[in-house]
Amino acid sequence: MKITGCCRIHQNEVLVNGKKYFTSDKNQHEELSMQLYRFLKTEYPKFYKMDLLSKMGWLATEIVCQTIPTISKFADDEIALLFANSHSCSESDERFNHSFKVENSPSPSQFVYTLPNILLGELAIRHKWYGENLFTILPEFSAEHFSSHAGIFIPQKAKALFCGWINLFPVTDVFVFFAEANSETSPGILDSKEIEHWYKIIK
Amino acid sequence: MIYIGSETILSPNGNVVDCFKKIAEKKSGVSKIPGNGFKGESFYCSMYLENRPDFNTLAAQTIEQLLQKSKANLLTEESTLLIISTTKGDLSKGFENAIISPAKFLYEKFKLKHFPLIISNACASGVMAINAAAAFIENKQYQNIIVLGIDMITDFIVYGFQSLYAISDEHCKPFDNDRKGINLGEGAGAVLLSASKDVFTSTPVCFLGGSSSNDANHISGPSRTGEGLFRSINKTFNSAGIKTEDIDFISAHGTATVFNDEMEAIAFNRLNMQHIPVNSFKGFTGHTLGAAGVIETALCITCMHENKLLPSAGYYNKGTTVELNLIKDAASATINTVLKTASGFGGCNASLLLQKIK
Repeated sequence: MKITGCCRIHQNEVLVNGKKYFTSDKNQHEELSMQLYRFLKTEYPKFYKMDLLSKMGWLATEIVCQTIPTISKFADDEIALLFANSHSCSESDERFNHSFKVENSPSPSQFVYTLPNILLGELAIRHKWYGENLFTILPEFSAEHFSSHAGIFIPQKAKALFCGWINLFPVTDVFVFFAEANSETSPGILDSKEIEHWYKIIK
Repeated sequence: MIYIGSETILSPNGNVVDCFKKIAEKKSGVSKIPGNGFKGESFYCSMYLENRPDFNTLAAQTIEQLLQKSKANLLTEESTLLIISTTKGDLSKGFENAIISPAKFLYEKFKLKHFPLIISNACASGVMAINAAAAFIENKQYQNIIVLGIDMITDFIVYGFQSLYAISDEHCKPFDNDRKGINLGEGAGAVLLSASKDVFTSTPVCFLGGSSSNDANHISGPSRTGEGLFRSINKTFNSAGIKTEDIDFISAHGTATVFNDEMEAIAFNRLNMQHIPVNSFKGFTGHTLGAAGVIETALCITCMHENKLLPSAGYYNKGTTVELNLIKDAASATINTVLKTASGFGGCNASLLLQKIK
C-alpha cells in the first residue's frame, strides 16, 4: 500500500502532503480548529457541535479528502478507519465531569462525546462510509502500529485505509493519512518508514 | 483454522460456570442499588456489593483465571499479545491516564513481551477486539491472543446514561414490549484465540469470521433500518461461507432501550433470521459496555459446550414491530454455529461467528 495523501497538524502549523497549508496565529486547540474550519470554506453545520477530538480528526480528514479526488471511486464500505491517540477522549470526559460536579446538571450532549470512537462515527456520517472502523489507545505515536495493524482490514475487509493519530495534549499533534493499494506494492503492507517520514516532517 | 476458548468471566455474579448456572435457573444478576442515581434515585445494576475489586486487580485476576485453562507460560511468549477492550478504563487514574494506566500495570505485572493493544470502540469494543485478534492470527503476526474485556460502574457512567434517559428504573427487559432502558453492569471477561488447539486445556471452538460496519447515520442513535448491523452480519456470513440456515443461536446485543432492540430486530429480519433462537444476556449481566462482547462470547462458548440455549431475562411479550424468536426458558439443543452481535455509540456494529470443531 502507498500513502497517497496526508495532513499533519502540529501546534499551530498545518501541512498537507508535506507542504505548508495553513498557519494559525493562535496556539489554542479551539481557536485553531475554528480558524482552520473557516479556511476550508466548507459548510458543515454538524461541525460546531462536535467535541475537540472530533473537530481535529474531521478537519484533517476533510483536508486529505479534498486533495485526493479519487477517493470517491471506492465503494461505500471499502474504506476502513484506523484511528488512535494516547488520552482517549479526556477533554470531553473533563467537560462532562464538570457538568455534573460543578454545574450540577449532567449534560447529555457532552456525555455522548465521552467515547473516542464517536470521531469515527462523525467521519462515517460525513462521508457515508459504512466500512470497518477501530479506535485504539497507544502510549505514544507509533508508525509501527499503523503499519502492522493495516492487515486487520486490508485486503480482506477493505481496499483503502484512513489512519489517524489525533492527540490534543500536551500540544495539538495530529496526523491523518490515506493509504491505498497500488500496482507496485502488496496490499495490507504499509511501510512504517513512509508513515514515520510524513509524521516527522514537522516534529 | 483459528480457535477460541479458555472462556473466562469474573463478575459480581461469579465466574463463567456460576453465571451460566444462574442464567439457566433464571436468577437475576442485577439488583436495586440504593441512592446511586444523580439525585439519589435507586437504579438496578449488576454491581459488586461487597469485596469490590479495583480495576487492576479485577483485570489481573481475570487473566490469571484464563491462564488456568491454558498452556503454561503462554502469556510471556514472544508470539502472544494481550488485547484490552474497555470504554472508560480506570477513571480513578484520571481522565488522561484512565485507559493507558491499566495496560501499563498489566504489561509490567505479567512481564509481557508486547505492550497490550487497547481497543475502545464503545459497546462494540469486545466483539471488535476478538475480530482484530483473529485477523492478527490469520496474518501470522501473533500465534496466541488473549482478549480481556473490562469496565466498571462509576458515577460518571451512571449519570451519563441517566442524562440520556437510557436507564430503566426496574429490571431491564430486552426486546420486551415494556422495556424502558438499560441496567448497567460491571465485570470482566476473557477469551484466548490461537492458531493451535494445543494451548487450550479444555476444548475450544472455531472462530469462523467477523466484521464491523458503521451505520453512517447518527452518533448516539441506532439506524432505523439496522443498516450497519445488517451489513456487518452479511459480511461476516460471506467471509465465512455461512448462511442463515446454518445458525443455531444468536446472542444479540439487546440493551433493552426502545430504539436499539427495534434496530436489531429489523436487521435480523432483513437477514431472515427471525425464527432462529435469540437472546440477550443483559437482563442478567447488566450492560457491561466494553466487557459485554467478551463476556457474552464466553457465555456463547459455554452454551455450545453444554448444548443449551439460555433464556433472555426480562422477556415476556413481543416488543418489536417485527418477529423474533426470543428464548424464554433454558432448553437443550444442538448448538453448532453461533452468531454474536454488538452495536454501540458512534454508529458501530460488529458481529462474529463461532462453530464447534467438526
